[in-house]
Amino acid sequence: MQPRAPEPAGTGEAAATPGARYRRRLLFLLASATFFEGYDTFVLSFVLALVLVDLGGTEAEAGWIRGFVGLGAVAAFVLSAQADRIGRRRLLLLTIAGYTVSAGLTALAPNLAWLALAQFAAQVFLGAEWAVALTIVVEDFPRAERGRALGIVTAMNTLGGIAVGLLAFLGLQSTPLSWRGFYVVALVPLVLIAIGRRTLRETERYEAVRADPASERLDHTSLWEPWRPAYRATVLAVGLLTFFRHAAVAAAAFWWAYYAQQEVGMSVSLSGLYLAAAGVLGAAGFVVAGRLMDRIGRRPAFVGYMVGTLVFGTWLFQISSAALMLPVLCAAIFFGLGSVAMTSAFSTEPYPTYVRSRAAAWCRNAFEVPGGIVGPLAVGLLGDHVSGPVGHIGDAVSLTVLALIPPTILLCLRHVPETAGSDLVRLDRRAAEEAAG
Amino acid sequence: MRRALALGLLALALLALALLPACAGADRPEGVVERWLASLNQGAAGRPERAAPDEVSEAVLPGWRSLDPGELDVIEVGRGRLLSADAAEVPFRVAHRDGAELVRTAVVRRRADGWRIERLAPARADLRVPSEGGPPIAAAGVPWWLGALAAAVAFGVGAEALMALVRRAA
Repeated sequence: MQPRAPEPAGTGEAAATPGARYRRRLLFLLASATFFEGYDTFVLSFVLALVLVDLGGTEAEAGWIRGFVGLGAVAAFVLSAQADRIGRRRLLLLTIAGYTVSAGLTALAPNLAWLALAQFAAQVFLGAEWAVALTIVVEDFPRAERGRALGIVTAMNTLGGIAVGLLAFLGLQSTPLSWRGFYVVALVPLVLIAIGRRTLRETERYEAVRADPASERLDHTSLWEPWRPAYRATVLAVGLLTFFRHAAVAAAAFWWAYYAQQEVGMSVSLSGLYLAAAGVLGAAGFVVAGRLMDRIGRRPAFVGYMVGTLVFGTWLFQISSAALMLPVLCAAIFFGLGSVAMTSAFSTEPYPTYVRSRAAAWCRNAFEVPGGIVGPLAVGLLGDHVSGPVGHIGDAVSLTVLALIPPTILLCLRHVPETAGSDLVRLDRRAAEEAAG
Repeated sequence: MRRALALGLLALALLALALLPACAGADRPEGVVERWLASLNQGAAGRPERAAPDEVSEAVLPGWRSLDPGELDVIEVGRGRLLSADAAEVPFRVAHRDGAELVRTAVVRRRADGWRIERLAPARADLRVPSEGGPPIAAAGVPWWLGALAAAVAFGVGAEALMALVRRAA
């Protein structure tokens, strides 16, 4: 069965997008916000050993903290769904402010319980910030530029992670602030709030829908609205696709350093250098993905990226030569992480404005985030060197990629609509007409 | 609808079949040696005394209690050899940040609470770590690779069945 494109291209949207100068400023603001989402995700794992020494704690307690903090990203669902009710602008500024306060509280943590609570809150705000940032890109950029903008905004997430490694390389942890210095850096988004309050406008699509009397019949608040019969199949297809993709990619991203150091015998410093170099080169994957999405469509670009993920993701964890590792790592990051630009489009573009943020929240927080927990966990259980039935982390990751990526391709080909030419104005008009009966 | 349900059940059965081997546990002394070295590399917070006597830890990382975490740049453990049901030899290699290397064999013994490192012995030519041509601690056999392919089919069929159910209900 060929999925139906939600709406043919039209002319209504062209006039409804803001000017190029504003879009450039908007892109800077959103890219900065997603940069810190990536930054914070990497910081905790990077400084955990120092935190345990400073605040006192065991590896087991560290494991519980990681699990608890990870639940924050799931809890972000409720907050990110509010963008359809209170507006994109207000929620974005709220999440940036909330994250900055949480980072400040983390830097002040006197014990592990405080740190865990502050980081849980940080994940709630970051999770919502990510979803609303993507929604704003989709609504404020014209069709022809949407893919490129999504590529840039999602690429900043990876660069945020690389910044952590760079700061560690520069010796931030050796300053008197020690690990707390990393969270002091995370206060920088305060500047974004100052800029955003002055320059950030509500998206024109959101304002138009809220001002339209016909939209009063639409449900702007229920968390279950994306599961209406009209959207249900798309939400489920995109949700399952993001779950499978992220479970495989997160497993590979989480375990690569361990595999390189413990099973290949690479030094910590060399593996860190490889990761930073491959991360920078691999970040091009996001930008190329964005351009491909605009040129050949979301679905062909995604299938191509998933084939690349399958090949290089499986191969990467079978390599025992340090020399071969770097190019294959670059390719795996290029395809594996770069594909998030397409899933961002899948989880936002097929839906009308009044429900878009909630649909994105379902895909992100109810499917993708749990996938990011299940994938690494499954590999850990299978590959554990003491008790795992496979007993080899590299093999366990390869098996996971092999099992999860083919269903992702199948779901995309059969059930995910192509949205490259979708006109948001027409989508909104049709939703209002359907609500009016 | 019935066809979709049958497909879903078949997918679950295939998945359960693929995951059956995962229920079998293992108890590898190599993993215990690796955890001991990793905990030693955390300094006092790592509590390596849980796995090995202090004098053995001192032989690998002198003054470990007062060192910062991350003194060891490389920790590598290879496949060991069982001497009996309760004793084994495990090869390992560590490299300090200054480049100094130590290659040894850990002699481990099983006790009521699990494997424990008893002492260190010189490196042996027939027990090597992977970077020196030795085998990894463990590896997935052919059934595991076939199982992964079966799981891919099962996930695909399961997703198809779920989508068919949802589309019919809508």
